[in-house]
Amino acid sequence: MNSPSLLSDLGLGDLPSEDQALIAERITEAILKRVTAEFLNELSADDLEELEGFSLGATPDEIEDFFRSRFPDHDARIEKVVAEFKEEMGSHLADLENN
Amino acid sequence: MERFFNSPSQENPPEKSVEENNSEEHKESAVPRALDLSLHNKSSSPERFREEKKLESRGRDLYEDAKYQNFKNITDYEGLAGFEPYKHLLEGSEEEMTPDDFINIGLHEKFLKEKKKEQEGANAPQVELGSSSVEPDREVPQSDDSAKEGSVTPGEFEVPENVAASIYATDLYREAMRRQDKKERKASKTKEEPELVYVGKNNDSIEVIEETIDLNSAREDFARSELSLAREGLKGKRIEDVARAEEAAYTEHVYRSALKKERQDLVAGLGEVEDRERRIKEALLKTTALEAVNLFDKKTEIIAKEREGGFSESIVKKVQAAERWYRSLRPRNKILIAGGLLAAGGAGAALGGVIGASMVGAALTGKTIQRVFAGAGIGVALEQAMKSAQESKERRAIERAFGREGGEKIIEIFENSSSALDEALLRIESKQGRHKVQRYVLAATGGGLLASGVAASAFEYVSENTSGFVESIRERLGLSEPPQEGFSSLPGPDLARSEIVLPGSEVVPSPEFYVVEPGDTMYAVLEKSFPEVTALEGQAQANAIENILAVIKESPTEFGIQSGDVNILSVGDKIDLEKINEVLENERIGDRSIAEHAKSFLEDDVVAEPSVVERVDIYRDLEDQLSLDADTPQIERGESYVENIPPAETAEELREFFRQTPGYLTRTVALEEFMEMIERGSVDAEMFRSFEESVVGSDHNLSPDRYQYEFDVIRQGEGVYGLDEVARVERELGSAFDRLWAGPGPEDFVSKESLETDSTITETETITEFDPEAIHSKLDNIFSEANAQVDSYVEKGEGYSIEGRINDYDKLESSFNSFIDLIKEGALSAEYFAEYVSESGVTGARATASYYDRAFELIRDPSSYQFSLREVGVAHQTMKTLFQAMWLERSR
Repeated sequence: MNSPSLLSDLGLGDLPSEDQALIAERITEAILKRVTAEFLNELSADDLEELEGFSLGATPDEIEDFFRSRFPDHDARIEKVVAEFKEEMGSHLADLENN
Repeated sequence: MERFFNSPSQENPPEKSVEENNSEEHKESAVPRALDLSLHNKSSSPERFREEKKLESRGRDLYEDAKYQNFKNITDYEGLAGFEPYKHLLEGSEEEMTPDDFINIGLHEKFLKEKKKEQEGANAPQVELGSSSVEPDREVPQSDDSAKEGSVTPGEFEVPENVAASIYATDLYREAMRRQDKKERKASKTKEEPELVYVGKNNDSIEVIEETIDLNSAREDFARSELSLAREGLKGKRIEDVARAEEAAYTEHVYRSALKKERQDLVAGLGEVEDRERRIKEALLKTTALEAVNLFDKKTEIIAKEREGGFSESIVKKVQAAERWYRSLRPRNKILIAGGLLAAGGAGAALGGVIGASMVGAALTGKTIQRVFAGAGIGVALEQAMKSAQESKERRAIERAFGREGGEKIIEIFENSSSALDEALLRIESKQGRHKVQRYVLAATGGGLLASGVAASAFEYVSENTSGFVESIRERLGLSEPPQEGFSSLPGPDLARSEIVLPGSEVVPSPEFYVVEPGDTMYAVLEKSFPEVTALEGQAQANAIENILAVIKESPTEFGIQSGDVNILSVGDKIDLEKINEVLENERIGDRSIAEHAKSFLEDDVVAEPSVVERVDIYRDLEDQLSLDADTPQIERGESYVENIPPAETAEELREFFRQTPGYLTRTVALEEFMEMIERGSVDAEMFRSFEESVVGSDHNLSPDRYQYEFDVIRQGEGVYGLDEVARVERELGSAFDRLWAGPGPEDFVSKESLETDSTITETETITEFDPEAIHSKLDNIFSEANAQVDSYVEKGEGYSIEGRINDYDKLESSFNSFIDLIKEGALSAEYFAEYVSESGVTGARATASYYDRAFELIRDPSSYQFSLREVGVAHQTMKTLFQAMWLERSR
């Protein structure tokens, strides 16, 4: 069974498919949360208040536009989080190899 | 405590508290408060948001303010002797003090300093302050306002600005919390690290650590350390500060040791199993990967909490909401996002749209899905991942259809399935009028994805074992190659389940009938038996199924439902698929078939033709639909109260409005997810019971169709788990609701009678024109009683604060989020409910909206404790009108 490349790259491609699906979901959830936390944490107080003000009635696209306008390097930031995760996961798996 | 506030008012009235001012602001509003706030809530500007935040902030400040007031009033009327009860706070050691103690001491010091200034300024005789053991150099944050309070006449203690006092108290509290946190961390380390040693110094001690450390706390310490190092650019680099380096190394060692211990336990727990080495490797890999996620999560938690300025709570909540949103998605969408994110490249673009959706709890729309696909440049890998998730479901379905042994054989075939057959089946699937062929295949597989190899191979297998049939089908599929070798040796399917004779005179598993098995529901039968239904998503699929069910329920026995009730299937019932197919092909909604009609309910267009109205019309005969058994109290029936809702001016405009009320949609999506989970067998009885209670105890968001739908789910679930609890649960919860009203009496609240009177119903039902001002006016009348009560409870809440009844005030605060839990436990008294309502005046729109939800939630038929659909319909009409009024108001 093939799997998304990150899992294969990390050497998890041979795990049973159900385990791979579980890990992929947990990773996605963790990255989604991290990206959300980092974006929000770096917004100015005014921006945070503005976001609070309109997010209840906003569409997903409006939210995304908001973040993209505040973070011109929006995509790169997300990819950086993914890269950080990959590095950390690699470190854990290396630790497993060594112990 | 009351005396401290009654007395001053006679001689020297205290300044108005913040809450009193707040209350007056509320009272000035001509529009009912709840309505006013809710109407503006979704369109609130940053200015309005800031205004509301300030109100909330002032509410929180009450806690500190009340304490200060107490100190002041104590000494006003009892002199310094009044402080005797507090002296012990000043005499204890700092280590033993709680944050509250620090606050009390700080406030005490502030008071004494102010008093001293007052006396000095008036050249008055010295007040004996010696009884205080305040340390002169103690670091206590000072209020900026102290200087300007120096010219107070003796005996007339000017009450300092409440806000300044609150800020002062907040500073104190922050400092106190910092000390407390430091103390607790120190104590925690002392407890968990009996011998602090570093790697290599003492191996025996290391073992001690491994036995005593807790992975959770070790993970948290390590996460903090890693984050700190990363921010200082020290991660992975040489740390010059020796102490810092040692601390970091130690923290990592503790964490790694805890992990090592965890792994050892894991391996030991596996015992002697077949293929042990592989199992160990897989288990270690899996747990290590998941631990990496846990550590990453812990860092995220720290990041989310560290924002200052009062924003951390909001950020933490949004992060948690993102987690809940992702978990609530359909498995397919979860995997889709995972695939988009984890595949090489394009992750930023892929996740961008997802963050927006998660932030507002929106359903995953086609647009976002397309973005995930397009952004990530995924392909085979994702498709395979999705297929993997589907396999588990299919595997169980196949085993049900063919027995375990036959199922295993077919699953083996799956691994080598014929892609040519897959493609042929897909071609057929896209053609109209070939339902029979599709159903043959689906019946053979027990209901799986046509595109998967399972369906194709299973079909071949069945064909091979039913000679004569195969040629006919092969011809129809346009296949020419012979069957793969080996099929003929497979064991036969369980033909006894249902048999019919097809042209060719061969006995095959029934394509015309579906034989009901334990756990089956009509929803599931329709979903897996008709690809045109399976292919629909979300609301669209639900709409199609509901419309089919609406026809079936007119004569359930003709469709093979022996109970005569679409909600009650019996094992062995033979559901006539052919007859249902006729419904699909011939039944018309307008000029479209059921499936065509349902396609307009694709997630992006879900509100173009509100399903609520349509469904209520269809399900007007509630008695039949709910199909209650003899022991279940009958639900009140009546004509539909929602069918006269006028259409929106344009579908597009209304759709745009509803897009902005995502909560309306997501719950239905969640229910669909839950149904899927039940079908997959991934819901245990305990989880189901919990769900059942939450559903029955919920407000159903004023939607009759949702109520009906939830009941469908519950009844299906009860069938699966062999339960018959729904009537009992509803009765008990109904009793709990009634107990709520039993105390002060309905007249003390927004009485259910007031919502049920003829005049109210008439008023709500005659609101058919979109005149916002008239709607405001009429609803103002309807809810005037409610507003009057809210005002009275606001005053009660203020009273708690002013009187220093901190525990009661705290109870109000905590009751907001635990209201439903308390109801479930039967622990929510009428008095408590009153307190809860009072909070709605303190915390603004959020609580007010909730208040109305709860008021509507209490709409029940007291004779049976069942929800009254009639009343829910009325309430729904009201809300619908409100929504449309809001929409119109905003569009101006």
